Amino acid sequence: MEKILEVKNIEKYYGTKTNLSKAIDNISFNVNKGEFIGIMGASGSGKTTLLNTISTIDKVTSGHIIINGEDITKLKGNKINKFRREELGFVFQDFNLLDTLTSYENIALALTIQRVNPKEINKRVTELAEKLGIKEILKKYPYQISGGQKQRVAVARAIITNPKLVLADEPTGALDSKAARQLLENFEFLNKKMNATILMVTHDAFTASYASRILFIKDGKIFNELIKGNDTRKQFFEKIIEVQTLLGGDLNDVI
Amino acid sequence: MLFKLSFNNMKKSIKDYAIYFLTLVLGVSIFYMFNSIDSQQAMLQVSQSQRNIIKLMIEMLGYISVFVAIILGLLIVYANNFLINRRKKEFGIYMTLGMGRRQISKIILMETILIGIISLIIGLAFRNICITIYVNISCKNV
Repeated sequence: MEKILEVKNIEKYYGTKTNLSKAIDNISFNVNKGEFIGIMGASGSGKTTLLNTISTIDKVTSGHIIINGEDITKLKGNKINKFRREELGFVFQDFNLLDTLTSYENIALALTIQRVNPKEINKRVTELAEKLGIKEILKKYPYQISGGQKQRVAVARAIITNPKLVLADEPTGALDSKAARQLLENFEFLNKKMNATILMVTHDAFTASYASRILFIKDGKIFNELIKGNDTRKQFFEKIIEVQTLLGGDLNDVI
Repeated sequence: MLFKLSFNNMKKSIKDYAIYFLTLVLGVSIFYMFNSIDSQQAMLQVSQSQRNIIKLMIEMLGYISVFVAIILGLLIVYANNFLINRRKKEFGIYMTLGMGRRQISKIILMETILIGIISLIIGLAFRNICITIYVNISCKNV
């Protein structure tokens, strides 16, 4: 299997010498092409920091992150921009769509930055919109559509450039359960049918149960790993809950 | 596409920009008024003793106008920072999509130019109206 992401002994410290806090404490793992990885952990466990370091938003204190054969901890300036627009797709909790552009233009913007010609853009956007069920809202502005639709537009924007890795930070955090389910089905579709590699951070067990492998993080370390294998989603969900109980998080952290 | 982005951004932030421009226009006119006092006609029709006083006053005004210029400069920098800060998040989105600093600057530049052209047109039109009114009034008095 082709390795897309290789995280090697990364550490991330915050604060000064006298008051040091380890957000990430020696984490290593690999992600293969076509995997759907979930990262779970209570708030403050370092999962978002981990995602930020992988997405080149934040720099690691030590260690290496290799995406598609390139060590991103050593990238600088324009190379980071190029890397972001060609290899990564982002999905955020609060959508982060541009209010001044229609859904279509929001999706197309990612391609415009790459200087794809308009005809090709049109073809790719329409095709993807159809697959994600957002064809009817392409002409609408983000403030005219629902949260679930916004997030699907955001997913379309993340995936339109065919990135090596899609990074999602609490993608269902701001959605009601129905919209969340729909979105996760979209993720599943992208993962299974279009062979997208997805790395999703979440603290919701139901959301995580859609992943094929889950890493649990506690106090900046990998605490446990669950592989879905041939389980049904329900069985997997129960296993996740079990591990969460082990993690010692109380009910407040689970929800 | 980028042009449309700039254009829509401008439309959206026209209210913010309006404050900015009001600041600029007011500032510039006050500054101009300050510096043109000595060339007013009324000033030329005064006696010798008054002239000396006025000379002193003009000298003072020169210093004050430097002070006013500094304040104005700070005001403009502050207004600009305020506008950019409000849009920090937007620039963040551009960056996650892989836009470089250069492309983001291009968008801002395009917006500034658009606003500049529009305000220039409005300003010129306004000036023409004012001049027409002024000439009308002063001709009647003669």
